Amino acid sequence: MNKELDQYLDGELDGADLQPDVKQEAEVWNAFLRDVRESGAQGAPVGLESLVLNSIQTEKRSQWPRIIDWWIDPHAIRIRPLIGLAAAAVLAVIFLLPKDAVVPVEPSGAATTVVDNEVVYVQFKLEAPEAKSVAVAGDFNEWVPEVMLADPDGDGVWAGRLKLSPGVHRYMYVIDGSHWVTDPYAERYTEDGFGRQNAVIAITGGAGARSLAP
Amino acid sequence: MHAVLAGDQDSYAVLVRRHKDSLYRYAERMTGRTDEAADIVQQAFINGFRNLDRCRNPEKIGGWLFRIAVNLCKDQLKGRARREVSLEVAGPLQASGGLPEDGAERAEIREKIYRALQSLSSEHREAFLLKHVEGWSYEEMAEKLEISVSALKMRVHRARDQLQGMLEIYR
Repeated sequence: MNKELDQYLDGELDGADLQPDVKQEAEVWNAFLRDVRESGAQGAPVGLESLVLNSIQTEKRSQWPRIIDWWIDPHAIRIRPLIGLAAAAVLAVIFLLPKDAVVPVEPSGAATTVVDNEVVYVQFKLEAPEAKSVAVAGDFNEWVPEVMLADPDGDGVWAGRLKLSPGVHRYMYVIDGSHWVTDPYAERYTEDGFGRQNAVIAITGGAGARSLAP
Repeated sequence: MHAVLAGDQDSYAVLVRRHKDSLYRYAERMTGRTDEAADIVQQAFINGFRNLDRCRNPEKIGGWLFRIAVNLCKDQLKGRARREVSLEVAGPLQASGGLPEDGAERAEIREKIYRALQSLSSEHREAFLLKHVEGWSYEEMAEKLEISVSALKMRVHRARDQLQGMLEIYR
């Protein structure tokens, strides 16, 4: 195709600057492109908006029953053998970790690094007596609040341990699936771009790992 | 916008109202199917709502939703290719507020346009539609598709080269 015509169609050249023969070709293209724009739908069909909004409402309403059902109803869980082995290995490492290697966490909420033979675990802890669930989400899991903390004794202190790679990580707690809260005991914070703050944890790895608990 | 990101449904409804037409217009021309386009738009908004916390730039949430729809279109077309369903079976787009219904000639042009668009590769069709139907600049396309401006230009130029044959009916 003529270079001048390409530039015109790309919006880089004004029609008034075109040579007469190119201008004629440009008019043909304009007629074709107008028909392309006018063929087919100009907008969404009536009813699509309601359909979307109903789906969202249903989605929001049905989220918790579905999660609860998943835990209660008997069902088969399919897992790839390799992933199963890897999960078993991770669990073995967690349970075989010597108890005295764990740094005790005293404050009601904090992320604390735990080091054992170069393996760095982070213990997340949040006091949230009213919560029905607490998850942790951060740049280490694409901000998906799937890592659930547990409150086995029902005292409102939720905790869980996660293996993280050395580096600086940002994270937040998610209460009841939707309420994002900042760790009140983090050592450092950074703006999250939504008017809230992410907690920051620095993991140096090995013997250099340090507790961020106050 | 913060209300939208916090999952407020009324605020999200405003967003749906504002962007549904452009998403549908694109999806319909990409897939060539009205039913698939409606499903894609619906799924794009649902996925967007589910993942609002991942939208890192609230000011550009419209573009973010568009990108979700673009990816869903790609998945749809890939799935279709796997199922070996020929586009020829799908049939041309139905007019719905588009070209004036002034006879068989217009219907024929519409069908030719449909066939010509569907003959393009999905990458070329995507670039061509965003440029010439949605009217995006190359810079906007590059940002939303995460593809370089030069690569996008090449796709649009190649699409236009392939569509040259269509111009005969306009001369």
